[in-house]
Amino acid sequence: MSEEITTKETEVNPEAGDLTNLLQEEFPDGVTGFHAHRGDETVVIERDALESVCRFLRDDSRCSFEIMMDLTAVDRLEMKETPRFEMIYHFKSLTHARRLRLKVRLAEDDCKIASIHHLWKAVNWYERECFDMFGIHFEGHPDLRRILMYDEFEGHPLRKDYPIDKQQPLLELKEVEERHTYGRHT
Amino acid sequence: MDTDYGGFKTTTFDSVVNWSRKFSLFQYPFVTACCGMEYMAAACSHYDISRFGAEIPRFSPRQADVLWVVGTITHKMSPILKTIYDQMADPKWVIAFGACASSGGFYQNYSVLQGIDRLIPVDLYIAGCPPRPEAVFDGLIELQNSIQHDGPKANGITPTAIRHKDQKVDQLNRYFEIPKKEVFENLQNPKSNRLSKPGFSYSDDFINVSPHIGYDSPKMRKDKAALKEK
Repeated sequence: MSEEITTKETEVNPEAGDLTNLLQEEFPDGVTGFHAHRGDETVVIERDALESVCRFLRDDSRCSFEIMMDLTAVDRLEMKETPRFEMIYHFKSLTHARRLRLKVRLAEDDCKIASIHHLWKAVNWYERECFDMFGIHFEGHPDLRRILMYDEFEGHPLRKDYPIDKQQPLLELKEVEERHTYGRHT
Repeated sequence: MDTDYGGFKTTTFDSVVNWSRKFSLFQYPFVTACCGMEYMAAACSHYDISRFGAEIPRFSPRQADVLWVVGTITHKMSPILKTIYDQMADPKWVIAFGACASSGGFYQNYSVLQGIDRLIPVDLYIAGCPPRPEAVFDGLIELQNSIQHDGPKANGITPTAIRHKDQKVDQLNRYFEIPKKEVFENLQNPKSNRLSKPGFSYSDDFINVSPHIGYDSPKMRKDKAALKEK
């Protein structure tokens, strides 16, 4: 563990796991922070190092993460932290029976990241969902369009600056002033 | 009803048609969410919705009379629901099953339609998250009553609950307010041929009615005596 890394995560938990150490040896410039909680390690990496780190995690026999479990993002607008977005990748290794979380931080005005769909096939739809909900662009994705919302929808609903009750109906709706239920509820 | 024992009864054509309609409601279950489980429970043999004549689910809207919207309807789903409703032939009725279909439920966000009555006219709302089968049957019986009394409503909706509100309130008051004195008197009434259950109160003319129709009626007794004499 190098002494140069003095992020918040290292202060919380100074003991780094062996996976973290391995990644730090292999990518000394890529790893910017880490922490661990009950045996599950989290590594924060640079955006440009994502693809090489992921390829290493999949192919190296000391890692061999066969499964990409989850991919999502966090909008940290109301946490008052910069940069605003944080990409989260979860990997699972069946060989070594362990998990790893990768985090990549993205600025609001430049929320682009390399797609890793060619490493795990499951990534494809996760990235589409992340694009749909958060508006993060995955460069190199073969089919980056909305997956949950309809095409007429404007904006990205899970961003914190999207109004919480703003709706974009597809059909013309009428206002209902009063509803009556039947029976003992009337 | 003073039919005597002549063997026929007069009524109106509408009344007969509505009577037949209310006991042969073919359903179209538009099931999108967890309320569907309660719908299935109500429809299957433990609770047995076929007791009310609503036995057969038709998975073609053109053969169905009642559209059961069971579950959350999102904006993405709303054009499909509208199409299904338009494809149904008149006369048709719509039931909003559960909180989500009635008002959006606890979803007030970017994706969920806040009540299907913003999109299509609704005849009946069933409250609950999800409603129990008893509530479903309560609603179904209410719909049958409204069909009997009002007939089909093709366009525009004046919910039954509004039209019969006063009547309903009276009925509810009679149901819930227990006039203890009356019940006590009825228990003491030697004429009464049935025990009054606590919690229920019958009106006087029902309890103390003399049997003027039927087997034991005075008229019938006279006739029987006349026959014997002959």
